[in-house]
Amino acid sequence: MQQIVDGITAGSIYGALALALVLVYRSTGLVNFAQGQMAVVSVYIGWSLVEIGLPVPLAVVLTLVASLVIGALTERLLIRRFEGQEPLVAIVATVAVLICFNGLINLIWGGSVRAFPSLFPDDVVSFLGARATWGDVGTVAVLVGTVALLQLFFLRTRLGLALRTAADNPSSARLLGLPVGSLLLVGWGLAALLGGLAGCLVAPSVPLQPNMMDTILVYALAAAVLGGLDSPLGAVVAAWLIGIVETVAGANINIIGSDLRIAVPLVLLALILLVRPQGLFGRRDVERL
Amino acid sequence: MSFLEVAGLLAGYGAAEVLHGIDLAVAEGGATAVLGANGAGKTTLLRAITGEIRRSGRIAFAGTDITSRRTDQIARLGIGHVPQGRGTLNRLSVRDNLLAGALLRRDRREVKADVEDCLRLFPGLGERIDASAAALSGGEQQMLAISRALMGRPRLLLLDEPSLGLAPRVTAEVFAALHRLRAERGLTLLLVEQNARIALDLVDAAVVVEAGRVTLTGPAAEIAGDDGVRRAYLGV
Repeated sequence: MQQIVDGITAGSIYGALALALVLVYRSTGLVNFAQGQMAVVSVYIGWSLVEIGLPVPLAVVLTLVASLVIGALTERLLIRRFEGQEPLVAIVATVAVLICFNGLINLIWGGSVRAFPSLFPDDVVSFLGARATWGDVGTVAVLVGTVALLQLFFLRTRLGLALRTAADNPSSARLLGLPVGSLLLVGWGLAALLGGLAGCLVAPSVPLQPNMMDTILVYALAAAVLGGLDSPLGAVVAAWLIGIVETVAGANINIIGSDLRIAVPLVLLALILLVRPQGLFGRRDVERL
Repeated sequence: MSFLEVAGLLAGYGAAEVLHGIDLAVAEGGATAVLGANGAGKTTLLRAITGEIRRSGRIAFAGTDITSRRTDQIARLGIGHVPQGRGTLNRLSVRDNLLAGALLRRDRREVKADVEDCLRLFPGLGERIDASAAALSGGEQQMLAISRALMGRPRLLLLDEPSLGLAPRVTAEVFAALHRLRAERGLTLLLVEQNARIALDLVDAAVVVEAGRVTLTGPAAEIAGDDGVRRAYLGV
């Protein structure tokens, strides 16, 4: 039971970033490889706000606002230049954004390890024979709440439908009168906000340094793809599955141990995609000829 | 003054100019067909009107010069466009495709009523309302594309080859719906169509475009009686 709880806790961290990946994919049709690094920028901004004496909740709120602006600016200043071209061009550009943001963090804050305070108390809570911190419980709760909000947002709001329309077929969206450029900007902004939230949830449990999200991004990408890439619920369920399998396999199969743990979700990803190429919750793309 | 007025239109893709000075007028409540062979510039004409490609000259809609407006701004003025290839939102359901057509409208109750109207116009769509648009047949996708454009309550509807790739029975169904739209709503149409016979039966005026230039223009009955048109497009 403890291993499952630990797996869900770890999976929630991957899931938070996976949600940002899903959001940007669903609203722009792109995979943003810089999502993790953008989240790290957000966390450093939060850390700076805490350092100047702001209470942690207020610092996190301001960090989310800053994340939204950073995401929107990234789209407006860089990604929009690739609008109308092959999506692969913009995706490669996100790798460049990753490298630039990493350099920017080193330039502004340096590479030394810092500590980011938790939003939640440090106390431990026990249930069903397992133990977890309030931080773990809070992360899971925030994640579940975010998934519910995202589902409602995409399926029940006009802005959600407009974002899906623009991502599905930008040319048709323009013919329907939708300002596609502005919608992509909103999509990037919201995804960066979600990434910032993921960063603030993750940061207390890992050392704050410029590469803190690198490994998590690998897991998050695996979760997003495994979940179907455009399904928020799928991304979170897949992230939990990855977290549980990784934790249980690492603890019980000697040959895996801690060194090969990162390979576990990738093997799982490959096996499941062989059977279900559209992922666990994704819809198979069908086209009548 | 015409509802849609195109004068001296030059348009093309990159350095290649496809239209070399098109003049065209569509009256409010009227329907005009653009006839021509493959590559004549018919689709380019519609894409130029909706601002999707480079163009110069003058395009005015309801008295407003739209020559340099963006596609989304032109759509918001009330020009609906059913593009060649249909442009359905393939990852969305039929219902969401219809609602996407009405995203700029605020009158929720009337949007709901318009969805019902579209389903009455094309009953087959009602049976597939929750299906993904990608899973529809070509005919159903064409009906969905027309319905989605209607959801925006356009004042002028541009239709690009609605019969392309459809079986004769489905083509007849689509054009029967267009006849109904003209009769019941007085919808203004600009129709690009290879099937001249079915097009001339629907419209009241036509232009023939050859190699990016208008070579013939007049009332539909007159165009249908032209010897050149009869030989080239009506197979008579």
